[in-house]
Amino acid sequence: MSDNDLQIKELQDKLKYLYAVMDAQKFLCAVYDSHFSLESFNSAFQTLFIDGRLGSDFMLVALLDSYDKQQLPSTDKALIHMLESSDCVKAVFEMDGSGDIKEKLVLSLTLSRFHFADDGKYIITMSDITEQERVRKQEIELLKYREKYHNTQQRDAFKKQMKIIRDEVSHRDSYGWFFDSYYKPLDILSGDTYGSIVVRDEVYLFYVIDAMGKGLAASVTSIQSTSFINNAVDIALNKNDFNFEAIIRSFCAYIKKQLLDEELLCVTFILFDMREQKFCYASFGMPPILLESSKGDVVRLSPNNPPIMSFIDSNNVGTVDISDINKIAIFSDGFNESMTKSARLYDKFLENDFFTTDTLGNLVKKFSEKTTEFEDDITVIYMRQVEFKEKPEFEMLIESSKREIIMALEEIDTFLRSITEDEMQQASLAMSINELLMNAYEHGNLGISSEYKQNLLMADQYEKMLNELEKKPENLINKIFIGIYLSEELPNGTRLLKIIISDSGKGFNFSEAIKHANSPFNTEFRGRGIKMSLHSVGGIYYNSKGKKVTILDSIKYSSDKKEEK
Amino acid sequence: MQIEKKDGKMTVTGLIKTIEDSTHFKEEMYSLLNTTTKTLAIHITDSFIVTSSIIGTMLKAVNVDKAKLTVYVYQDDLYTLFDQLKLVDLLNIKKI
Repeated sequence: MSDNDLQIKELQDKLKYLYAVMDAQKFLCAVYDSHFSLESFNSAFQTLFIDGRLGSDFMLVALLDSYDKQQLPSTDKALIHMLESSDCVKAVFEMDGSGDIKEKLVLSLTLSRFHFADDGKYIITMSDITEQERVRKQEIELLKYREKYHNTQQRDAFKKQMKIIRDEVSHRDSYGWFFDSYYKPLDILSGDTYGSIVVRDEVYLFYVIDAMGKGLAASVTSIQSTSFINNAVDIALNKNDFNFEAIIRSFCAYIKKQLLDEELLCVTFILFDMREQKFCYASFGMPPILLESSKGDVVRLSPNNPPIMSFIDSNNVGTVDISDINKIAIFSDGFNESMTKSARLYDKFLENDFFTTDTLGNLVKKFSEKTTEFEDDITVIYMRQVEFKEKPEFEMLIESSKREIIMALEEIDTFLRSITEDEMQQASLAMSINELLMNAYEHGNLGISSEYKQNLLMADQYEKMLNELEKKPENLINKIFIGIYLSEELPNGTRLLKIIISDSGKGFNFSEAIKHANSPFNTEFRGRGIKMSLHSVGGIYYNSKGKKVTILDSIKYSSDKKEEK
Repeated sequence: MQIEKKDGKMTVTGLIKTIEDSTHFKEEMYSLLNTTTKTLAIHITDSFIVTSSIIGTMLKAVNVDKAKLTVYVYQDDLYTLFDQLKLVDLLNIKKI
């Protein structure tokens, strides 16, 4: 046989694949493959045209690039319809009835809509892409392997970073102050890190670190810095000789030895003393600290040291009286230097947003609304103090039962509708209260651990267990308190709403719980109530033992609105 | 919150926020998963919030009961919430 005859025979053999999916009585089929000559193509096509019907040894078994096997066409008409609605269909044909080994052929099919002969026939063009698909599959497998390896590395690195970052104070409610933080690394490994450490009951150490550059190189410096500071503070606390200035001096001496000549490091340290009503600070080239007085005046506190470099010595420490300060924000330059949708730096809007908002959650919402894509790591530490009326606007003491919680939520709903007309805020607050009340009931008063809850949920035993625990004598005496308080009108014209939920349980480590909830790798069925609440209200804060949670949110108070009218 | 069911499709209208809503959702979802195939399309048309209990229920259905869920979300805020909770892929969330 000549080469041409072989090609024609091969082509004719391939035409057989079409039979199972197409009826040659209804459709005309053409086959084209790049290595066949036009002459071969025409010869084969002519044979097909004359025969009218092809062999039946092959059948369509799968469509490539389709996760849904139900998409496999069951009739010729369905295949034609599929081809009509897409540019190209990649299909796997399997040779049947030829022994144990089934040969697979991958073809790309495209449909040409043109009228052939006298009764509107279709022409399907087929290309043999078996080899390309084999290579593509290999490449995909390799990419999948690389991605899996990369994801595992990232996941481990992120876990390590989160272990090193020590945040004991975020979401803490202490001596009338509410503390919060926002940390958004650009990459898994970040040039920004931060820390908040309880030095004494009423004294907290905060720091924000911004290493030069982004990504891995910056991360090495920032993680080195964080590890050193945390360790130095631990040693000092153990020896009972914590000294703010000494920690800063020893840190600067250490990190300068690690920096490259051209590398610089920006850090803000704050020692926040609620009893003495002051804070000491040392800022090394960081953006100014924002402060707001009780009258609503916003002040920028400039850095008192240049950035840390291997050849610069500077360890200035300043002191600020906070007796008349209600809001403080410390942040890295990724926050104030983010680009807004109006192509200006966010710094232009920051003071006004800081003034008009009353929680970090609401400040971040304003920031997110104005900015586009982030180009740097972002870290913000936020502190808030506000006076509330002593007498709650609403209070309830309920038993640890689902029935009482449902009744309480109905009353709270009615109360919320009476103080704000904003229906979205009513719903968000109600949802958050629901989540935190359920936490107080399940984890607080009934003492169900998160791990135990997960196991019960897996076994579909959770509801049954709640009903049993409710009836236990030791749980019958446990109560849940709900109190709702309002502030006076604030300088920015809003009021703060404070909702307290406290239980009689043993408390919990809220820092760990929030860290777990915020982990991008959390795939468990539980642990999302706190995160959902954080998403929906201005802020949530716990007392040191985790037995009392406070929701804060700004509201436009209905009575204020009526007075305005 | 109201739920309509039809041939592997569950449409949730109104706000999802209470404990009763969570219980009702769970019952209706499993009534469909237990009687038909394990494929279910859930359309959440109005609510911009959802309870953690409902999220837990859906995660269990997918991961333990091997149900194939597609959750169609009509409100931007709810989609953002699912996105922030890293649930878009896990629960096969589609924005409408």
